Amino acid sequence: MARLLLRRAIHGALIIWLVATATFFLLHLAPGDPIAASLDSPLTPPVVRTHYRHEYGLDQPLSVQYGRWLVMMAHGDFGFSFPHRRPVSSVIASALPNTLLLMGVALLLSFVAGIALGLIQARHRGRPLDWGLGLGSLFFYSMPDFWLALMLLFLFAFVWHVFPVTGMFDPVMYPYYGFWQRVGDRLWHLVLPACTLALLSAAAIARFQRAALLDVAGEDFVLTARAKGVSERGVWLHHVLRNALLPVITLFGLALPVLLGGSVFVEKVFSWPGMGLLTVEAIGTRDYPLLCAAVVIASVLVIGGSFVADALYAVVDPRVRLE
Amino acid sequence: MRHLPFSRFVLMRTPLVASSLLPLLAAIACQPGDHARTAGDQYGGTMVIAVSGDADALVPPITVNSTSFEVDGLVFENLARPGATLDPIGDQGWTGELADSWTWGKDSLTIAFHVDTTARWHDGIPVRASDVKFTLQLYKNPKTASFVAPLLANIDSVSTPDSSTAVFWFKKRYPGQFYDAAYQMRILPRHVLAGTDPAQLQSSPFSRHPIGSGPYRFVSWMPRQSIELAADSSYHRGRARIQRLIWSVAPEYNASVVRLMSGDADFLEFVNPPDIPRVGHAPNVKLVPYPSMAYGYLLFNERDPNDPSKPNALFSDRTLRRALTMAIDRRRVTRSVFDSLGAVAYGPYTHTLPYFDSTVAELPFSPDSARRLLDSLGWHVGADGIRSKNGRALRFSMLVPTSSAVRMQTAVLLQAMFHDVGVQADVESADIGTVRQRNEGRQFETVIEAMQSDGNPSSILQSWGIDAAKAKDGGNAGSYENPRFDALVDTAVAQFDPKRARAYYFRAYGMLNEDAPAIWLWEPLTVAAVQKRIHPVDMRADEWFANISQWYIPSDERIARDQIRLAEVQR
Repeated sequence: MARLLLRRAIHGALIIWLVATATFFLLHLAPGDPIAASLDSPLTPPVVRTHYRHEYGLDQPLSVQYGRWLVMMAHGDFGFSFPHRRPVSSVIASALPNTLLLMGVALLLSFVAGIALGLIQARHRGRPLDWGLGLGSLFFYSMPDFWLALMLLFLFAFVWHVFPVTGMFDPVMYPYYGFWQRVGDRLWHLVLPACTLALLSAAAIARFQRAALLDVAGEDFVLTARAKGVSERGVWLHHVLRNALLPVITLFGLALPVLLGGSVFVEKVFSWPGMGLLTVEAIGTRDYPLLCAAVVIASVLVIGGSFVADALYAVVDPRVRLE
Repeated sequence: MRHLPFSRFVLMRTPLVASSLLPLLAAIACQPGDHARTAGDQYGGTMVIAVSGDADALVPPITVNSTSFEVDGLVFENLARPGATLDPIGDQGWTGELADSWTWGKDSLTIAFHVDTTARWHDGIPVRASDVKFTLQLYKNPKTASFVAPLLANIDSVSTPDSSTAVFWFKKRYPGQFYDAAYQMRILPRHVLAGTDPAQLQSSPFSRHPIGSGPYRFVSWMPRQSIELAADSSYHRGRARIQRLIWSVAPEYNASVVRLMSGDADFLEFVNPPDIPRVGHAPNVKLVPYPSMAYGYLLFNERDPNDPSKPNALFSDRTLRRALTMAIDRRRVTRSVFDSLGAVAYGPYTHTLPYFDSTVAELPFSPDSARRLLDSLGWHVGADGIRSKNGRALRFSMLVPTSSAVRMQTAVLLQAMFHDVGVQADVESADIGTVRQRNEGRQFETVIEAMQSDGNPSSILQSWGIDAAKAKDGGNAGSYENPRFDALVDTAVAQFDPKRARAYYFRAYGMLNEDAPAIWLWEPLTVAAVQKRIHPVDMRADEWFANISQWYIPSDERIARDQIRLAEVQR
């Protein structure tokens, strides 16, 4: 298994480098640069733009810029973000935890809800409850993430005033809250964006889980369990579900890119100051160093998630270990 | 010069189809409740300002975005501030800010500002004349790379005969001396910044935690989320009435509108025209129209986009530009795009400026005249309805940023009007970065531009002067060159009598209209939305927040977020 994981790790590193390199060249070949984007007024003296372009090496040939960027990346230096006027590492350090928090909660919610829904559907196969839940999950599965986010925002924040509109905390009261009040305030702001992401993923997981459960439910060992007198609840929870969870593990790896992609829109709608929103803003301001860093981090997260899924699969499935 | 980004144009989305909105605005803006209160119940409260972007660096010489500009404007001070007319000549109507008085030298080559001895930095250190001297040096230092530095070129130095007198020495006598000395720079604390390398200013701790002398002092900045200021109780010109100001960042415009209408936010600087009826009917919100310094125009590139050393085959012809201008019904364009919330632009200036010329001779909207002119130039209508000459069709592209619905819509209207006179104008939309770069590289045929005037009429040369045309990436992207225009503006700039200056500026504006380097299109009226408990909300065109220290929230109208105890804010 160690060889398998090592091979996956090398593949992952290669993919990250390829993605980062492609991103670097695509971004630099596109029109515009961070200086023109930030100092966009015709009234800005040209000498100021020239000064900053020289300072950040944007007047150098692309090959020189690429070489320097590679060296910097190898040293863990992501460069300087001109629009933010801060080192990229500092900008990311303030955004990445927010996205990880959002994704982590969304991932947890989506798997718990998805597996539970799949189980309910499988147990009630062909009945109205199965049909209803199937229709509901299909509804959310086919819904654009930004639209769902806007609808939840409209209903729960604007019409019913149940949850806050945007942000990670109440900008007015937060500084004066105690520790637990702050935790509560953050969780309160987390509900809508996390539920948006979770609803979309849970719908897919539920459909997948249902199919997996029904596959397993027809196996001989399930019949044996029933013949031995195991209760129906015990059959489903201890025999069917445990075996049907195996393929769902692969979904973990697949859910990460979906959540990461979805977080771009969800963070924008809810003004959640995470990596998705940061990336959208960086595209607008042609913030090369920040965009490259964001893409590298996203690649690491996606490939890392896939790697973890592979490892988990190998742990729980002896056949993979043998291979 | 004031440089603001043009994000408000990005925010404008769709045309107004409703009937005139001005009566609605007038009714809403004048609702009862803006009555005077006793001074005692005016101090306190919190105002949440919804903004779409975070600040970049809170150091005035290098500040480029609007949120930073607003925060800096309340944390720091200028030496003096112009009156509501924004007249840049002399010191008529100006009020002292950090300076309480000033004296002109006999030869007018010096101005001695007396710094208010009661002024203190927010860390308690008195403001000194040496701070003024240090500020000028910092702004002019090439390592600082301040976009204001070129505007200070005529200031030679500052001397400090005593601790409260800063004498500005000028290289020459000119009408804008006072404006440059008193208003171009926000004064910075020498005792904090003296040890900072100007090249590192943007990443210095000061840029994240500024110390100024203005009515509000910095409290906290949560990157990409919020910035908080608190009224400085020891402010030398009297404590501001609203205790806390919080800039709350929500990049999604619609989220800001929802926050305002639901009461989470108190102020939104700009409401999209289509949203005005909806926001105006919210029971807790009032709409406040205020003057704008923005205008839009279609710019002709007078140089070949593929080889800027050559003249443009079409637009180097003045008569052709005039004909195209006469083909456009600018009133209809303005009405279609802004309904009653916009006015036709007369030139590269707006109604709010002291040098606005409503008498300028405009080229009339006259499609027949346009057709005759085009015929006379040899552009004749072909079978397809498009004019051509020597086998070349009269066809060009209009570059428009996709992010600006207003400009996209304008382009479509222009396209139809050009087509009426046999001209094919293709709308070429591109993302804003591409538009900026092509603008800078002069790689366009025409482009629909939106500009924010800085209030100083002399800056017209930065967009239309010969030097700006010849500079590699100068502000004159259309490469309009007319030495007589430059001479008129130079003469106007040299006038000490405002009437004479105005006369020269008006002649220069007339020449711009005659030469038609652009088609002047529209200037939008800006409408802000604010919670009704905030009074009296008077805003200026140059800085909407200029009078914010006089705004207040009466004690009987305060809500939960206004009740934060003063002691907590003063922590």
